[in-house]
Amino acid sequence: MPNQPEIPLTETTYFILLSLSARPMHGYAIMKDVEALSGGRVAFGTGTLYGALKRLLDQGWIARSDDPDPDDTARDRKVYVLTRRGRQALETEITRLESLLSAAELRAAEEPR
Amino acid sequence: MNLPGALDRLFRLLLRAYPGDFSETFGDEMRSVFLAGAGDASAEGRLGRFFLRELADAPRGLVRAHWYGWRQKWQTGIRALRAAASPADLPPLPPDGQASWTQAILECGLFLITALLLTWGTYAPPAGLAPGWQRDPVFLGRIVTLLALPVFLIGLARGLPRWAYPAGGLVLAHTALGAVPGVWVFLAANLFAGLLLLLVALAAHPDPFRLPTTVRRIGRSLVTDPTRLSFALYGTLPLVILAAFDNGFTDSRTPYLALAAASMVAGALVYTRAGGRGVRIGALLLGTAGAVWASWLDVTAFSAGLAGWTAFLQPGPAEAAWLLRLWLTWCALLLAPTLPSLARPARRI
Repeated sequence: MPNQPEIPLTETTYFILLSLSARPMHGYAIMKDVEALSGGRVAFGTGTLYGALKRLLDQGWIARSDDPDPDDTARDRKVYVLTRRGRQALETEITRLESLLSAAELRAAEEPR
Repeated sequence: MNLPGALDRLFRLLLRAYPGDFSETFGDEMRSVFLAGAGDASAEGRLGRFFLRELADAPRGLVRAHWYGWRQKWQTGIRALRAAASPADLPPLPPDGQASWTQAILECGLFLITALLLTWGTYAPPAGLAPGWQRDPVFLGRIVTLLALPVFLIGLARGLPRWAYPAGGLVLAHTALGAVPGVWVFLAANLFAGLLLLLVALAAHPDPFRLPTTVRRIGRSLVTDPTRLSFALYGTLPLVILAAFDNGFTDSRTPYLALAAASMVAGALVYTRAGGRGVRIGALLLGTAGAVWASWLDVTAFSAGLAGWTAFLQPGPAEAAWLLRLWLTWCALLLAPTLPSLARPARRI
């Protein structure tokens, strides 16, 4: 596994990590949360979501475990948890995005009104 | 059947198209996510939109899952191959020509000998040498077999040091292009099948699989420097020179064949003494260019014979196109082994 996170992240990866940074979630909750976080702009299909989850699991950025609080409707449900490496990758990406934004704000402030 | 039941059935069918390990791990979860999404969408009156989104997403998800699965298997195989060829318990690689002139001469030995044979057979042929020997595949086959095959076999037994590569290239090229043209397909197919089987075996059982020491040494030699494969291809240059000069005769040869042979030796010598990969490949490309384009000069001067070799004539466009094709083909072949190391895509997940 690589020591350094691959930055920049894809939008899919970014939103999944951001979603899991709040709390562990199962697949459908991630899907709904990402949709809410992006204001409805990013909506995964099931295939895309689980393809991304598998890659993140293999990368060691998230972990998968049994749902500690299963409800009656769910059978053998799994939840996904952000790992330390995943959090580090997310923070690096957020720092990168902030620097991009501050550069844009600086340029906007310089422009004559 | 009701609509949710039909969708469930359809989705289960779709799950079968995913790679086995993927659907085994995530199949149940994916199905329950799909059903939950379909239930919510139905309650909100947007089931059609949900279904269309899933339908549009399915091919992309499938292709990515299969591609990712194959890529992982491939990488596992490569990692296992590298581990199996690990130099940890192997003796160090024999020195290459960069370390000493003696070693460089040894690695250029094949080129020196073939250059001498080409010039001797062309300009001062011994009495017993039949005219037109340049086009006699049986005669050339004997020479190549005697010269290169023992060197290649000894090299293989010793873990393929760099001096064995040109000999291997010459033997394989003569087999492929010379007396028995159909054999190369057989050889290439066997080589490919062998490599594929090896990768599959390593991917399936990476840990307990250990290759014999000689094979591991050969593997280490191959992964040490991709230009070694280019050097092997460069070993075919004596045959390329013969092909490029094939419309000449022994009694009217211009000095350009000697120039071609000298260019070949010079390219090999610079290759063996060079430290950087770029210089090594450049030397091989320039050596090939010198060898092939000397034959262009030969063609332009050929009609005037040995006495008037500086009197250039106009060659036909067909001859020029043939030489250009020959040169470009060999340059592409020489560059090919180094391309994978240049074309590593940026990783992004």
